[in-house]
Amino acid sequence: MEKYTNKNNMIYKKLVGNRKKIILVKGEPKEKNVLDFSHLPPPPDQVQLKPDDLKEEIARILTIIKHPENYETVVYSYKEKKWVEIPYVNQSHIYLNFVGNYYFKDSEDARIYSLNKKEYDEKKRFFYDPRIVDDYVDENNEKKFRVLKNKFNFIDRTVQTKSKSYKEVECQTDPAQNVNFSDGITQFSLFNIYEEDFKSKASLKQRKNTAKPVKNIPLKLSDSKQKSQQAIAQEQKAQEMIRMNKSAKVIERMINQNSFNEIILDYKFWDDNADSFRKEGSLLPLWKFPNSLTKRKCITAISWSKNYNDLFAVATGSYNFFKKTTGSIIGFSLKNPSFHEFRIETTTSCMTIDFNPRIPNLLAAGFYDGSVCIYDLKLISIPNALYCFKSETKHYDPVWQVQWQMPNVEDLENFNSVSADCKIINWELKKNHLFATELTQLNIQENDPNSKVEGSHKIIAHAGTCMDFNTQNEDLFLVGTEDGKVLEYSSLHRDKLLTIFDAHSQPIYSIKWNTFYKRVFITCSADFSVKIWDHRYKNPLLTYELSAPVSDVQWAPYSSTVFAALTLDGNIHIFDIYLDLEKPLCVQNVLLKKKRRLTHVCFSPFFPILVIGDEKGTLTSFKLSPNLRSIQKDTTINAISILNKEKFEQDKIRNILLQEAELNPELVETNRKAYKFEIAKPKKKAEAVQDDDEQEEKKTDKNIRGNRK
Amino acid sequence: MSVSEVEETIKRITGHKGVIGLIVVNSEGIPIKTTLDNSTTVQYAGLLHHLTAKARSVVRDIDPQNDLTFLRIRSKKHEIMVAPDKEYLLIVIQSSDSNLAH
Repeated sequence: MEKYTNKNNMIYKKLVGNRKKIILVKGEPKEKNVLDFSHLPPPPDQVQLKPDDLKEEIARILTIIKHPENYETVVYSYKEKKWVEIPYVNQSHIYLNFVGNYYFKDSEDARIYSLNKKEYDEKKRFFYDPRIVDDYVDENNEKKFRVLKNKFNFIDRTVQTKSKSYKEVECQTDPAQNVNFSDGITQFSLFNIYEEDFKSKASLKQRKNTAKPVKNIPLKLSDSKQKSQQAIAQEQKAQEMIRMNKSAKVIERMINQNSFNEIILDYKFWDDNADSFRKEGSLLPLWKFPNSLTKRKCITAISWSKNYNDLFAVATGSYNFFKKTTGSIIGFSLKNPSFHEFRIETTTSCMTIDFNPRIPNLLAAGFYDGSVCIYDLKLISIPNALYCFKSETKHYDPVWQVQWQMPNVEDLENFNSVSADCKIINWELKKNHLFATELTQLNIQENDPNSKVEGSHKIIAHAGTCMDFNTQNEDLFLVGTEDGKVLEYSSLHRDKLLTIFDAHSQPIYSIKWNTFYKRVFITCSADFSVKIWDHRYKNPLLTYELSAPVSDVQWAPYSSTVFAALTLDGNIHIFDIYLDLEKPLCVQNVLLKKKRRLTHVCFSPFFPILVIGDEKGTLTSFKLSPNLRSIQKDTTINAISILNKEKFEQDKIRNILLQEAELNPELVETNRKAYKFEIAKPKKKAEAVQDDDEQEEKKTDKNIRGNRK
Repeated sequence: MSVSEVEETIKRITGHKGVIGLIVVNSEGIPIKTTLDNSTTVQYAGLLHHLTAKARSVVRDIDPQNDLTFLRIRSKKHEIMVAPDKEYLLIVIQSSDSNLAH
């Protein structure tokens, strides 16, 4: 950049390169009418310059960066489908367009003006009316004029807009209603929300899979649309009530717990200390279930549930042949002695019941009219549900006992019933129907007393009164008859009688295999006696004569040597043949009122409790004192150290019986040949036991023979 | 369960030895059914409702899969038993005196 100053004191810059510069051209050099402020004192912080520097003029330059021009650009036009030239656009931009009274110095106008300057001025003067022109001469003696303006010839027009007046407008609404809300968040409320979410998702999935709608539990008050408001309110109340059922039950049990508090403590904690000083034991009465609940009917059977340790069921009816009454099956819980858990009314008196050990809600029952029935206890609570599966065929005489078996070959639940019509029938539960197959008929070949010819045989059918199936050798079972005989059958070979025991002279009321040692069974009869047998020997190993007809006998579930016998005079006898071979450990009179006969006894498989039922429907429960519960003689040996309880129990009773057999060799008449022949497939365990026993038997036999000699 | 069974159970409860009264409270703490007089009922309902909620929150906070089955408060004179449910609260007041029971 070069600076030039010419004689007129004009300053202009030369164009250099591409840069365009704006040059302001003055038309005429004028004296600089610079306002003179030099008389004023300079501000204290002003920079002191030299006079030459003061005169120095500093120019401000505006520069423009010029963009490169594109010439001849082409663009593809889709409309014409070819490359089309963009028309040239002038690249010049006008940055400043200022109309003023300046001429560009190098322009024509400027040149003309500078030549004819005086003439223009003259012309200007004549433009105005002479009256208003004022000539004067200024300091340099030049003629000048000025135009006088007055208000009449010249108008100043001014415009002013209206000022807007402001108005304030306000609007106020009612404040929104505030509700104070507070809540506490806890871990379980989050858990609840997640659970509900899962449930709803699961139910959605289910609905997608199945098209069936969910059934509601039907109410007794059915939904008809013509109901009045009151009825609807009642219905709602009813529905509310139903939901309270669980709490109501819980509360009832709690109340009972309170009122029977002492009994509960006794049951849990009372152990008769006197037992440590004596050999005998005693029974402590616990809960009594009043006979108002059983409607004063004779209790014909008691069965404890195998799965629920406090639930037991009782069958009521009548033993009276001439007075046929209705019966019922009532379930009780030890937790609630004041009311029953469930109640099933039957048209004929129910003689026997049995809980299914695998399916806890099935209950088999046999009746006085010979029919059998299965009840599903789950469905009792649901109204209008069929909970009874009755058989079409039936026995011709009262069914005295039913017993569940293991699921058979087709995996169906089945049970057996013995009846006074001399038959044992096996019932299968198939698709909610009972199918009967006759297992066996109790026929015995006997010497015909009427016939005159000696040795002629007659087949006489015997009425069965009780039976028991061997859980170890599942095909073996025993039947007790009305005339005191015990028949041993094998269910593999039907109609094949294995052995006949001439047990008693009167009807056998109860027959039971030993809980641990499966060769021993016990029978009780109206001929005042209780007998213990080994099924290999024809004669009983032990016989007990009691004071009255024995109505029921049962082995204890916790020991192989303890059993309880009920006599009709109201006594219960508990024996432990391990501790005392001859005398009962406990003889107790459990009658509440005289002239009531005890009918059945049942041990609880879970607790040391007995339940006894009598003729008038009263149930009493008793707790066994420690002496009756003891497992071994030497109490210093800790019972827990016995690892294999079964083996121990088996050994216990086997030893006793072997002793007996030793002592009374003339009683021993083996039926072993028959026994061996009939057993088709003995289990391995049993085999081992048998082998053991056989060896021992051989030993004892030798001993006996040796002794004899 | 049918309606009559529940009603029968409740009747038995109220008729049991030593039971002074029974109150059914809904989820908001308002007594629906009662065998006691009004003022006592309202008092019991209001107080026990909060206590049960607190007890339940204690149990569930410790283990969210657990839940309160029942609550028993035994005092010198009475025993208050509360069986909570999802929507209802069943309160029974029984006399603590052991001579009465049996």
